[in-house]
Amino acid sequence: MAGTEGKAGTVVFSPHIHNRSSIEKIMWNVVIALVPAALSAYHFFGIKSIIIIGTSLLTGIVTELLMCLFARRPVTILDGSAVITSLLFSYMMPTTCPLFIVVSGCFFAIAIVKWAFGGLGCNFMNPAIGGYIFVTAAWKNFSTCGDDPLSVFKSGGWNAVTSAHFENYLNLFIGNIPGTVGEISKLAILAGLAYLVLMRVLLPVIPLVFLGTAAVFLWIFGGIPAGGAFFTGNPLFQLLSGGIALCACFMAVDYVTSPLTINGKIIFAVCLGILTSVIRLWSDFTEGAFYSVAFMNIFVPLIDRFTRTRIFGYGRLR
Amino acid sequence: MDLLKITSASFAAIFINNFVFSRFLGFCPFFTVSKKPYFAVIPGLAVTVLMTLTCAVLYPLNHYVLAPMILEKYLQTAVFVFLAYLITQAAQFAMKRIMPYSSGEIFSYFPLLSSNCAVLGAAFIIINENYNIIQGLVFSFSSGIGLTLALLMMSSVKERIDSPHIPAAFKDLPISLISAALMALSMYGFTGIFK
Amino acid sequence: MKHFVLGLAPVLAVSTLTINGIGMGLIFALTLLLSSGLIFLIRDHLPEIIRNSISVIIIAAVVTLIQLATVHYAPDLCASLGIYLPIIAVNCYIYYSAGVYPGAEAPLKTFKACLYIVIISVFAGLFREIAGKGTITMMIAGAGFTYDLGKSILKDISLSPAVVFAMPAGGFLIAGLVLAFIQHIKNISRRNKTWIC
Repeated sequence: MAGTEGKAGTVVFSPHIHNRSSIEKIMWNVVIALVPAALSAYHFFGIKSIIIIGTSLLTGIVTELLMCLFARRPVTILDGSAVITSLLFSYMMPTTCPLFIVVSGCFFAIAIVKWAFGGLGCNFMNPAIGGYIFVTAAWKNFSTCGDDPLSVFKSGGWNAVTSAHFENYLNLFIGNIPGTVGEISKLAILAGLAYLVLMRVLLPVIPLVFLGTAAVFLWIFGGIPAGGAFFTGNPLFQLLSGGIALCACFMAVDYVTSPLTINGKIIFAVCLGILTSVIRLWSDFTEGAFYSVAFMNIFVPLIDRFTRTRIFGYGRLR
Repeated sequence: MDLLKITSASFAAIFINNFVFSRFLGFCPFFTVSKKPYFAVIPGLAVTVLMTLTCAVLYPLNHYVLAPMILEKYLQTAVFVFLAYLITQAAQFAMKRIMPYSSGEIFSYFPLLSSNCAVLGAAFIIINENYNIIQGLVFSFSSGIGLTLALLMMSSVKERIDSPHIPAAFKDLPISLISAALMALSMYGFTGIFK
Repeated sequence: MKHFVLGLAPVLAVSTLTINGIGMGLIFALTLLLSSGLIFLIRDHLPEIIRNSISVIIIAAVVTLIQLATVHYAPDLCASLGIYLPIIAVNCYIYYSAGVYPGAEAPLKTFKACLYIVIISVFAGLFREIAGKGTITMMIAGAGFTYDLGKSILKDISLSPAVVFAMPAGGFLIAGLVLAFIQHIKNISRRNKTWIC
């Protein structure tokens, strides 16, 4: 997030003022940051995951090409945004997902959630998340994983987790567990986030506050659905299982669909953390992170309106 | 009359069975909503008051006057429609008398309010589901709050929808419908929380 | 145009099955025709103040008559339409205040509106059910058939129906896409007309 310090204070630039080449640099840096997750998917799942990622990439690029031609705009398949959306969308699909679902979801994400709203920078919802909520509403059984640690914990409690040998935190961290293509290896996701922070693409405000709020909330209320008391949740297990790490590090931080100011980002991330915990604990769905991002994306312009930076020299009319 | 049950039922009416996103009722003011949150919430709150008021009038009418009569199923629809229309017109008249110097933006919404499906829909849902008077009032009030939430969401998104980059085929109404679809999909994540 | 689409809300709401869509469209069109005919006959004889209220009473009476006929002849259709059958009254009133009802000019406008309503409701019901469930249901009052596309045309189960289209979100999505297509065609024809001029 670019900004300058001066005598009057700090000015934060809106990302829309960046010129074309710096947008491309940021996008391709994010693509590089997403590669470790693909490598870990290949290591743990084999060629099936690469087929899904490849199908998604192909669909994404072809859709972007078609949309640029329809809209009579310069062809932008090389600016990296279609690649990011396709990669992120494929990371949310399980390896057993039929390919037609991947194709329709990716097409929906790019054509409708991004291009119907006007292209890069004009959409209000993260395109990958838009594709995900469409696909889980349409084909719920095929697009969600039934046997990852979070589902096992939600249906059977901690006993089921220990009997399925998921309680080893090292396995959860490295990714030696069932799950969707991209969410299993928290090590790869953290490596990508560290790369982005080092290349000064983003400040890790949203991931830290999101994960922190979710951890606190899940620690306080985590034991209640199983009949326990307050403060008996297991935040480490909850943070290391499910898609919350992938969501917090790559989807909630999307420039276009997250608030502009630091205060806005903090409010956004706190609401995300609370919503994710509520959906995880009490809803019919196992993973709440993606739905909470979808819901909060709608309120981002409202958050921006209330956390606008004061322009120096202007004040309220008295 | 358990308090927890009433709260849970009202939250279910706001999030899961939202009047606009689940039941297609009452999205007439939805597409002309203002970008400023204050002016977006005012029609929603007005509809909430109207819905509660209509429920408070129509429920006793149905229970004590129409039901004992043999002609209940013949007269119910006509009486409800006409009375809902009368109440809305009376409210519009009262608003004009109470706040004659208010900003014109508020009053431009009233013609649409008078033909709002939500007010009538709430009354019919209450009759169909056989709620008692307390449940009926809570249901109509929280459905109105749900409608206000939907209006707030739409006004929040309106900034992005009014952008000049939107293709000409999608301008104005189609893109609002597609954003309503995305909002409905995102609220799908709340199913099961409030039983 | 905007009022026309907003008035089609009950059609979108019930068109999860083909027969519901067809039934709702026909009932809506019939209500619109009858009430517009009656109001057209009466409206010139009424003073300005009570014209709206009498129109509402007429619309409500027509809806009640049609509702009773539906309950008598097709009770399962009435049960699946639920509360959206009386809501037709409000939507007819929306059309009335938007000017779809005929005034001094010919009643052709109302006929066109009714035709559009029937066509849109048939296609909405058909598309939403085929995409959402894979069947075509045409059962009314116990008679008719249910055609299961999954068993007859697509013998293998590798393509399963997209349930989202049977949900309200799918209704919004289809309405938005169809409207975008219609607007696109209108824009093209408008552009071509200016070239010819």
